[in-house]
Amino acid sequence: MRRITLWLCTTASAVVLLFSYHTSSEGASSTRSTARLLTPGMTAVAPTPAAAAAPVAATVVNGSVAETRYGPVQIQITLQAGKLAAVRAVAYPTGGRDGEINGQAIPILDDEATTAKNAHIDTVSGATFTSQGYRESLQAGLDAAHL
Amino acid sequence: MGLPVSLLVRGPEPAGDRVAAAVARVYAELRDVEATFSLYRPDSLLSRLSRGEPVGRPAELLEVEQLCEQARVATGGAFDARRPDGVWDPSGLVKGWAAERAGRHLAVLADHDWCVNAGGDVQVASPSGEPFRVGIEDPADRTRLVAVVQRTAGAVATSGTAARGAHLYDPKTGRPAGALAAVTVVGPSLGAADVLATAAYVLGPGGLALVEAADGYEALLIGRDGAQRCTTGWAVTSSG
Repeated sequence: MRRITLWLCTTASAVVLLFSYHTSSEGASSTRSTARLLTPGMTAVAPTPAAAAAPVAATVVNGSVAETRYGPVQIQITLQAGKLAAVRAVAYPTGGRDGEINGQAIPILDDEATTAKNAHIDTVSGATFTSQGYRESLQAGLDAAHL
Repeated sequence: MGLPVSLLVRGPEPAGDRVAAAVARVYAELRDVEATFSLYRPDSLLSRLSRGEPVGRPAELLEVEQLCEQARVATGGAFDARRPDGVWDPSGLVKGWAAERAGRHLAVLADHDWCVNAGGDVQVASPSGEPFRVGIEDPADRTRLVAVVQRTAGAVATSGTAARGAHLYDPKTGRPAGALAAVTVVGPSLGAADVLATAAYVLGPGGLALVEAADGYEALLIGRDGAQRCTTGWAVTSSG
């Protein structure tokens, strides 16, 4: 059984946050569940209904939209049986030089984001990240992976 | 503070009322801290103070002033909240201090593990004994990790310029610090680890000795060339 409750905290500060909890403990090996607080703008998308042939439903989660020097960037992760199955950029600047930059940068980041998954990390320590920047959208993706 | 703050709670009832109440207290407190200390908010107490307006001096302000002065002395001036332009900007200390302080609301959940990540600075507690795995990002390529640290308690703080450009200054020269790409410090307190990481970053390779001398703290220094140096206890502590 899966229950997702959302609170929206409204405030003018940068710690405007969207809480997302779930109480799922489905899966034989899942003895503990997690509650993860998401970064601003992140939305949890309801699990897609399992296709008739698919034994496990996928959960698709969109990361927050990060404003970068090249324009807005957003990543989307797909969870399969509680594991990070795919990371993909769903929004990035197109056209002109930005398009060129992203044509190179985004697929590489997709790979690396998946690599971060392979390290089985819970969180990331790095030089101060603010509400801007793509990196934190990946951190947001890691947050979402705990859903 | 302009920081995304993530909270991870794991345990028997992460969605229970007790956890929800504790999480709410953490965020309420962080919002209060921001209302007091953010220089990005013109209505904050600190902004009003810096404009010379008459304001009260709450206990938090006095505490932060005192901690900044202690940090300046303890680091031989490598950490200094006074910016080259003369503005008193304690945000380098406030972030770690606030996240650690807010963590006490989670510490009452003795049967739950928790992890606070305030803009890349992390404090954890695992009463269960199961460590949190903290990836340390590569300052040269922020999509990669250079190491993974496992902690059941304490803090992991990183200073560098990868995320925001040059925002750390050498107080002695007033110029952006630059010999290192990043410094990560692990230890019991996030407030202290954050200050040590900032100071060691400013000091450059000499920062190793500073952290070596701090009891219970270990550091990983990453040079502009990617070379890694660490204190003697790094390997043991970072996986403890």
